This record gives sequence, C-alpha cells and structure tokens, in this order.
Amino acid sequence: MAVCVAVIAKENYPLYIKTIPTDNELKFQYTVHTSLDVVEEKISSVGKNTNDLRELYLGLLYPTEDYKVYGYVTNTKVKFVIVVESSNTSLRDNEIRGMFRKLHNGYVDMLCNPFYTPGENITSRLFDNTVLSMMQQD
Amino acid sequence: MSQIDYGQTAEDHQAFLILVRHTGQHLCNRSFNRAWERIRKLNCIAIPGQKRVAWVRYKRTYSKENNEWGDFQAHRKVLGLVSIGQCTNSDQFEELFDNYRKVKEEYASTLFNSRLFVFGMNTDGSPLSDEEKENCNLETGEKSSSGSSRSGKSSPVHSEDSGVTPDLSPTEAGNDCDLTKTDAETDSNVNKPTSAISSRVEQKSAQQQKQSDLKPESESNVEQNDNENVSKSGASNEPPTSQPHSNSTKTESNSSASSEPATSRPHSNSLTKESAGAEVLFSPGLQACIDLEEKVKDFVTSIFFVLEGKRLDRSFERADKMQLLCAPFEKKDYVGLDTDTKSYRKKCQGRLRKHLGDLCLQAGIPGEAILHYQTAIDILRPVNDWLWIGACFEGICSASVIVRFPKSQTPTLRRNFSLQATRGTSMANDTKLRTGSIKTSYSNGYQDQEESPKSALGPDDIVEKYREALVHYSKFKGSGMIEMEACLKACRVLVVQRKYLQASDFLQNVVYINLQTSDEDKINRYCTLSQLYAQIGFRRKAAFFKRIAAMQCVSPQNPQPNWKLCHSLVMQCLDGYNICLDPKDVPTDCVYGWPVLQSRVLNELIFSARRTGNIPVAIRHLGMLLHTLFDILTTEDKRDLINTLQTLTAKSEGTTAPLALDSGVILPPIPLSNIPQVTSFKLIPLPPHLQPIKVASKVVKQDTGPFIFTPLSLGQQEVQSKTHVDFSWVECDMCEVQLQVCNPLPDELSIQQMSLMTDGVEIEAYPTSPTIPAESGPSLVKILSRPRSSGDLCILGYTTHLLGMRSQCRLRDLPELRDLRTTVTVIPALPQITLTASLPKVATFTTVGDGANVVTSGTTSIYAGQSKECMITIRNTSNQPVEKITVSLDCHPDQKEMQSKVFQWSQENLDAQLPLQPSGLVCFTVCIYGYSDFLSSKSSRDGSQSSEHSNPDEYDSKCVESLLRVEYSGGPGLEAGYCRHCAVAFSVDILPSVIFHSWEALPSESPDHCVLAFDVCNVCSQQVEMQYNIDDSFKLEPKQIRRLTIQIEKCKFPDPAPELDVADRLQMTKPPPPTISHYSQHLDGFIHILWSMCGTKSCGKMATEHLTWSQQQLELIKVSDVSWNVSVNDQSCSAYSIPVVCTGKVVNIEILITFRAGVSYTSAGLAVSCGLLTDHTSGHSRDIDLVTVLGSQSYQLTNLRHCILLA
Repeated sequence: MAVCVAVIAKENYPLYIKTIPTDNELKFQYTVHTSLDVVEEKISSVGKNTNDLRELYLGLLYPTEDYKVYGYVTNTKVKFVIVVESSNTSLRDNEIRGMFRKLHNGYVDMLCNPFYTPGENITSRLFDNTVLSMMQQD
Repeated sequence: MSQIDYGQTAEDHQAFLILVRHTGQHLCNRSFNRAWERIRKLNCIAIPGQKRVAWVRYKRTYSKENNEWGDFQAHRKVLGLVSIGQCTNSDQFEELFDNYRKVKEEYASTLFNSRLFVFGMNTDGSPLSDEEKENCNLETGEKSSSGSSRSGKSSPVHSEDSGVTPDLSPTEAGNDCDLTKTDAETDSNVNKPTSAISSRVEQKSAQQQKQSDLKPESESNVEQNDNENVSKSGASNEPPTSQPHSNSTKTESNSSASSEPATSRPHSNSLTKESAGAEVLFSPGLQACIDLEEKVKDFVTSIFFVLEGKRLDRSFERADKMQLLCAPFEKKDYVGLDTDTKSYRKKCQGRLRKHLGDLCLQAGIPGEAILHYQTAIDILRPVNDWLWIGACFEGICSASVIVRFPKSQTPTLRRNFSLQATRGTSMANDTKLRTGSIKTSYSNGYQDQEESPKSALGPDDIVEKYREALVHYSKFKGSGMIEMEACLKACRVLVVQRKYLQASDFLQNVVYINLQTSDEDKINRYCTLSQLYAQIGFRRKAAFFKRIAAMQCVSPQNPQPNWKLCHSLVMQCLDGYNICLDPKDVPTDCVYGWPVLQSRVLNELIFSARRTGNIPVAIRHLGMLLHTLFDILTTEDKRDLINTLQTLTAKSEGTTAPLALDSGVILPPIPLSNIPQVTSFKLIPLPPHLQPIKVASKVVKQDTGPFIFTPLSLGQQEVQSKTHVDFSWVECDMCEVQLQVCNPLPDELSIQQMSLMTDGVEIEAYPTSPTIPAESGPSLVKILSRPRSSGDLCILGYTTHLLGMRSQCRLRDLPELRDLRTTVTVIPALPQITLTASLPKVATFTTVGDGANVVTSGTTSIYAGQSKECMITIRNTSNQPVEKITVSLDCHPDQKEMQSKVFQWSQENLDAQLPLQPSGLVCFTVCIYGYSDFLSSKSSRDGSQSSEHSNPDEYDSKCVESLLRVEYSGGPGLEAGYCRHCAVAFSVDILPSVIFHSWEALPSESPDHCVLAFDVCNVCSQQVEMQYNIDDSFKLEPKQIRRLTIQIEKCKFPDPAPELDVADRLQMTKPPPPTISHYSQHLDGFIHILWSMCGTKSCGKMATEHLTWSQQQLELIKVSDVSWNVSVNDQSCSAYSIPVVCTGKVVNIEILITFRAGVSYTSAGLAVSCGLLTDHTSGHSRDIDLVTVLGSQSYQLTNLRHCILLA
C-alpha cells in the first residue's frame, strides 16, 4: 500500500511523517516537501472563485519515476500526503480516496484528544496504528 | 557533443544566430565585453524598405555540433560571424585576420556573411600615430577600474551559455545576462530601436552613401599595407555575392544562392585580406567607433536579405532537384539508401517544406510559416517521419507563440506600441486578421491578443502541440537535446500564460530525459530547472533542484569538486526551505519550514563552507543551525555540532560582524541566544542603605499647562515609565544585573565571558565567566558594572563568549525578555559611609518601620532613669566628600515622643564636623536615657493607695527599639538633589529600678510650703540607695517600700497650654496619646529623687511627671489664690508668732486679704471666727463664748480689688 504518509500543518511544517522503509526517510521528506508546491498551486487556483466548494482530495500531485504522490487538504488547510509506489497498479483513484478518508477520520479522532494542542507533532498511538494499517501490505 | 542551450525560448526560432568572437590576443577582455554589450543590444533590427524586423540572437561560443543541427531547425544555424580584434601594426593585423579566417572556415557551411572589427587602426586601416595611441590608451585607461572588475566577472568558470552563471551571482545578472538568451532579450527591450525604426529610412540612405564612400578607401588601404600578399590579389575582385550588405547587391546574391542551394552558402569565400574588402572594418578604438551599431545593423540587414532570397527561392523549388535534409544523427541511416522511392521523395519534400517554414519564421512571416509547417506535417505523416513531424509541431508552436504573444516594447516606449502592433499584423498580412481588444495583460509585458491569424494555435493548443512534439522526439535516442530544449521552451511559454501546473509537468519531463552529459552540463540543467520552478512559484522544487545541482558539483565521481560553487548554490536554495539568514526574520510563534530538511541543508552548507576554507562563514552557518533548529536536534547531533564548532573556532574565532559572501549576500551575525538560555534578566537595585533618595525639594514644580487637572496622560511620561525601572543607579557604584540561565547542552558549558551591552552611559564592565553544569535548570549569573557618568543607561542585552564564539544577544530579539524595563537612570555620584556604634550588636531585631537600610546596630540595657552614651562613628568610604548629615529617629509616630526622650544627640555638634572628606571620620554621641513612668502597671495614676502588695513580676523590663536614621549626601549627587539613608538600629531594654507605690500631698506647717510624700518601692533585685532633698537618703532593700517626704515651696503653676483649635483637632484623627498633665510636668522640676545601685554602680533619677495629682492634692501644692495677713493689734500674727493679748481688752484684729493677680472673684463670703488660745502653758481650754465680737462677723464682698480692712 502506501509507502509514506505525512500530515502537514497549515503553516507547512510537518506534523507527522511515516515511511515504511525507514532507511529512506530523508528521500520521502524531500518528496513530501516538494509536493507542497503543487498542493499550494492547486489550492490557490481553486481559491479564486469562492463559490466553488473545494474538493478536499487533490488527486495525483505528481508522479516520480518510482512513486506517485497524492494530496488531500482539509478545510483547515491541514495537508495529507500519501506516497505510493508506481508499480502498485492495484491502487486506483478510489482506493486512494478511501485511504485519505480513513486518514482524515483518524486525524479528527486524534484532534479530539483534549490533551493535544493543534500544531504539535502527532504522537498518538492510535493515529499511528491507523497509518500503519494503511501502509501494511494486505 | 552538442551543447544544450538551457536558455532557449520559443521566440528564438525566429532569430538569426550570430556568433560574436573575440579574435586575437591584443584585445583585452574588457574592451571585448564592452563591444559585446553594445552589439548584443541590437537584437531587433528593422529592415529598411520592409515592414518586418529581424530578430537576432548573439552568441559568443557555439559548438560545431550544434551548428550541424541547423538543417533540422534553421535557427540553430550560425548565419553571421562578427569577429572583434585589436592590432597596432600590420603584422598583428595579419595574425588577426588569420584567426578570423579560421573561425570563418569552421562555420563556413552555414555562414551567410561575416565581419571583422579591428580596433587600434585608423579607419583607413593605417596604424595609429603614437599620439593617437596614447589618447586611445587614456580613453581605455580611464575605464580600466570599472572595466577590469567586469572583465573578471565576465569570464566565469562555466560555459558562457550556461544558465548557471546568472544564478551564481545575482549581482552580476545585469552584466552577464548576455549569457542567457532570455535575459538578453529582456535587456534589449530597453534599447529596442523603435525610435530608430521610424527615422530609419532617411538614415539608411545616408548611411549607405557613407559606406560606399568608405569602402574603396579601406580596400585600397588594405592593399597598400599588405603588399606581400599581392600575389593573391588577383582574386581581389570579389564576387558580388560576398557583399550582400546593400540593396544593390541583393538580386545578385539571390541568384547566387539559388544556383548553389544548400551546399555553398552565399557568404564571402574570400579568404585573403584583399578579397575580404568590406568585411574588415577599422576603427581607432571602441569609443571612437560610434557607428558600430550602424555597421552591425547593416550586417544583419545583409543577412536578412540573403535569407529572404533563400525563402523566396525555396518557394519555387522544383520537385526534381530535391535533396534530403537530415538531423545529424540521421545522416548515417540514410547512407546508401535508395533515393528513388516514393517515401524518400516525400520525406525530402516534407522536410524541405518544414525548412521553408523555418525560413519564413526567421524572415518574420510566422503566419506563412504555420501554413508551411502544416503542409509539411501532411506530407510527412504518411511516411512516418516522426522526428520531423515533431519539429513541425514545434515550429507551429513557436510561430503561434510569436503571433499570439508578440514581444511588446518597454513601458517607456509604450506609445509606439500601436506602431509595433501594426507591424506585427503586417508581418502576417497574408492571413486574415480578426480585430479584438486586448484581453489580458501579463505583468511580464506580454499581451494576450485576440487579433491573430486563424491559423495560429490557441494557447491550449500550443501546449497540446508541444506535448505531441515531445512524444515524437522521445522516440529517438539522438534527439535528447532537442526534446529537452523543447520542454524548456514549452515551459517558458506556459509561464507566460500562467499555467503553472502544466509547466511543472514539462519540467518534470526534463528530469526523465536521459542524456549522458558532463557534470557541468548537469549542474546547468538543474540550475535551469530550479530557475524555471522558481518562475512558476514552486519554490520548494526550485530549492530542491538547486540543492541537487550543488551536490552535483561535489559528487564523488567528480574529479574536481567545486566546493565554492556548491556552497553558493546551497546558499541560493535556503529560501525554498524557509531558512532565513537573519534570525530576526524567523517567526517565533510556530515552526517555520521543514525542520528535518532545514537541518540537513544547513549541515551541507556548513560542510561546503568548510571545504571552501571559509571558516568564518562555516561558523556563521553553524551558529544559525544551533540557533534556529536547536530544539529538533538530538543529543548526539548537539554534541557533534558543538565539537565541530569548537574545532572551527579554534582556527578562527566567531565574530559578531556581518560577513559578506562573494555573491554579495550578507550573513548577519547570529547570536547564540539559546546557549545558554537566559530565562530572566533582572536589573538589581542598589542595597537599601545605598539607594539614592530624592530630597523633596521645597519648590513645587510649576505646572505650565492651563489645566489644573487633566485626565489625559501626556505621552512622554508614559513612555518613560514603560521602559524605565523604578529605581536608580549611582555613578561610580557597583551595579548588578542578575540573569537566570539554563544550559540546554548535554555537556558542561563554561562561558568564557559574559557582560552587558549598554547604551547611553559609559560603564566599566566587570565580565563574569560562569560555568553551568550540563542540562541544568536556571542558575544565577550576576553581571557587575560600574557606570562612569550619569544619565539614562539603557541595557540592550548581553554579550557572551563561549565555545570560541562571540555573540551579542539583544533583549529585543529574545521574545521572553522583550518587554522588560531595562532603562535605568544613573544619578551623579554620591558619597558612601559606614557606621559603627560603640554598643554591642543586636542579635535579633524586630524591624521598626523601614528597617532595610540598617547597617549596624547597638543594644544595651539600662535601668529606668539611668543614662548611657553611645558613640557612633561615621567613616566616609567613597571618593566624594560628605557635605550633609542629618540624623533623625525613625519610628512610629505614636512612640515618637517617648523615643525622642530615650535617644538624644547633638545635631549641632555633628554639623560642626562637616564636610567629611574621603576616608575621614566623624563621631557623635547618642545619649540613651532610661525613660520610664516609674509606676507599677497596676498602680493607678491618681496616687490612691494600692492595697495589694504588688507582684514583682509586674515590673517587666521594657524594650525600646528604634532606628537612628542617618541621611547624608555630598558631591555632585547633592547638587542633583539626592541623598542616601542608612540607619543604626538600637534595641534598649529599660529595666525597672524604683517605682512610686503611692504618693500624696500634705500641707506643710508653713502656708507657703507643702509636703509631698512618696512611697517608693524597690522593684529591682538589688539594694538601692535613695537620695532626696539634697542630703536625705536611705537604703531600700528589694521589694521594700518606704516613704520619703519632700517639702517644697508651693508653686505657681503656669497656665495650661492653650486648647487646640478646631483645625488641629480635625487633623488628629487618632485620640491623642495620654498626655502628661502640665502640673506634673511642672512639679517634676522641683522634685529631685535620685537612686543609685550599689551593686552595679549605676544611678539615675526618678521622674515624677507621670504621677497624677488629684484636685485636692493640687490645692495643697498650689499657692492659694487668697493670701491673708492677720494682725492683732498691729502685730502680725502667724503660726510662729502668736500675739499675746490680755483678757477683756478689745483686740483689734486686722485681716488683710490679698487676691492673686489675675484671679477674680465676683463675690466671696468672709467669715471670721475667733478662737482664743488662753495660755499655751497652763490653760488649754478654748472657749469661743468668751470672745465677744464687735461688728459683723461675716462679710459679703463683691468685686473686691485688693485688700479689705476689717475692723
């Protein structure tokens, strides 16, 4: 499934990043970081006509040789980025949407914790498990 | 290997490529660059007699391989050559010309025309005279200072055409933008000769006239100068084709071109100086060569007409004379191929058509070009010539871009825009025009115009066609360069259209194109990508590629790692990672940027700076890493970084000065404000006894305002109270600032130096060097300083010197300390004294009032009534003289009266000893009196007998605590109205000695006297000897009560003090303390009872002022209001002398009553009773009846005056 899942704060700094081959984490950090450019561009192009209800799912941000990067932006401008392997053809758009929905729910649950201050790094074990479940190979 | 031109744009398809070469060794770089600057501005040249313009692209280097692509896309062909050289004599010219000829031969296959500009010769080609040379040298010499720097810059390490160079040094961009085509064009906008165009036609004719005049001269001169080459001069009658610079030769050149298509270009083949003729242009110097521009224009015009001729000729190409145009890598594929097939013929036809399109585009007819391209596609599609179909698509795209987004003039030339637009439309006059308004105007000056030929593609189609072209290109291995350039061109087109997401797709594609190129080329490619990403607003991507480029510079495979370039590239990517060079710019409220990547990039920056050998810069970067990302670093990282810092600072100490990089970037100093972290910063007031106190001035400040009261707070005071602390420091006194510091490092931190940064008043600093244990909580650091003058001292922050780094931490940069009050008023110097009291010090002291300024103390115990002396010594320990000392008692108002009786001193004595010079001494005596009321607590004050025998416990000792406040001042501080307070604390135990048990007044035998009787009780534990009435005395054992009587003269009491008036009473809110009746007070002066203790040899006086006397007793004591003298038979009668009278005789008793002055009675009754004392020896009977009273026995007196005589 996903090889990297990241949650990015409104101010574009990472709240949470998890990669499955952990040895390559830095590479994914770069990937996710640069994908923010596309996310911003996509948000800003929609933001011009305010009447449009923006869809949270942004779709494929950009493909790299080995990976595909998908983006999702909540209404509070918290960004989710999921990186999947290009070779994984079983993942269609619908599956990716499903993953984002799951991630969003997990994030909302985590945010409900009164001891969590928005803007802090996410350390919730429950959220971790949600993410891990998306990353493990079925 | 062909070079990729990373700066190419779609518009370049319409431009002529002209090579400008630096020829020979005699021309310095600087001069060449100046010539180059002048030439490259001429990138848009109006063609006389035509309504078209020629666009020119100048290059200083162009590889032959690239030139070979010229058949594939005509704009890749070098059409013209301009060589610039310098020589002073004919030999040098020879050499120069040889050089020129070589270059010309190299590009001979494509050149249309060429020029050689020679400086340093007269216009006729003769060498300059010495004088002229000097002038020339002077002329160049003036500019040498500015020029040399430029020449240094303009020879970058990289290929001149690289996209890297402008990035490397932003400041140079202005100078070096010639290296990229785009920049050159934007620059050239400034100088686009629109104004020239209008006046062009008139000028032109004159110009041509002039040139034709000039030509024979130069020719003849060349001949004269180079006689040795005469042998070749047979061919000096050059063919007219070599001079296609004037209209007159146009047709000829055309015919020549048509006769030798493709193989032999209509450029001058003359390789001798003589034959070169008009190709060589002489000028004494660059400055003198005013017509350089004109000459270049003519040159370009000549090329244009050659091209135009070729275009027109091609249009009527015959099908039977066909020839296959090839891309360089295709050539070998077509060797030996059957040329007689239909598909081959189709290919030839299609490719020629495509080439024609290219020529149309260059000739300024894009509309026609599109039609040609479309025809070519139609021809080529059946034969699957994909590469050339791709080229056609690209051609269409370029032409459409040129039509749709014609380059507009700079805003200053805006009013000529209509002219330009008309020309633009006339360019495509073969296509129908659609008039429409300008829809959108882009900030970059491009106009999205409706009015464009129908054949031109719409903006979306352009993208689509580019994509198609790329697909076709990608089918071939050898076309990587073309594909990549097409990607970049497409991207640039999209940038103009603001379609950033699509642009990013094209850029992404660039990465996938696999080209085996040199490292340098890769760096250029990444830099170009970065630049384009930056243009589409993808700053993170831009930073990413910039970083990749930097890594490429120093890749392990690279035999010559360029650390300097690497460092400067990493510096450029900081922005994309939100790394601010100035820590003040970093917002503090949230995480800014991506910490993991930031730390990575900063580490790379540090490493590259170290490798370049620029240690101070490396230290600065390291400081920044520690400052901004300290929280995310692991313990291990911290330790490593600190070690690195220490090794670096061992070589070069970290400074606080801003550092400038070669690129002009300024690295501001980074204060290490989180190592150690200061959690609190407190200015400490002076100790209480040294605090300056404003002497309340008698003169009330006159308010100048018209209002008695205003609720408006006037700004100035407000500001002052916000920044000023509420205490002052004193000049020349040690002042202290306390800091709470934490050490966040895993190791012990020893601060080599820590001191204050101040402003306003000069201070003498006493830096501290504390050592803070690892990861310890707040520990206290005191920083001392001594102000050297008075005024407002503003403490800006603190400086530290640790780990070899100096930092200046300003409080305003520290968010938690930003709002502190750090301005303190320093008042002029005040003296400082020490006090010593001769009494033993107090162990415990319950403070009375403000006891904080107590410097010394004294304690003693005395018996009630006893007196003791205490010597107080004042020593001046400062450099200022003490000019004023005031001693006062500081106590509760209720006790004031009582304490002032206990402590007494002589202020006059003290004043007499002033002023006290530095290190001088002053002593004064405080007299302590055991003040007591001498009453037992139970005994009532009215003197009635207390029946019970008192318990000795009741006679408690009384403790009097008091502060003797010494207020002193002197020197400049006194003038400024300040003083200091210090105090001596006294604790005096007053032990009971003797008390009055009871007392009464008895009449004395004499009417003038009365007797006061006191029962005194010894309440101390020793025998007491009482002394009274001068010589009477007795001994009193402890707890013994004895009466002593004192006869005193009746006294006249003074009038009681006047009643307090109403106002005073109102002021006294508290009930007045029990006052001592003035009777007692007065009486006290007459009674002297002394006691002395045999054991302790102490003595004292009993005061009676606290005794209260009843009215009856007072009557006895007082001198009575009425005095009388009784005289019997004129014999005065008193108690001591009783007149003797005989029985039976009339005795005349005269009573003289005297009223005391001031006493008036309205009426008085007087009754006289006469008694008879018959015989004081024998008869003792008293019989009133025996006396007969004559006259009235009682008498009513009214309004008596003085005396009444009574018979």
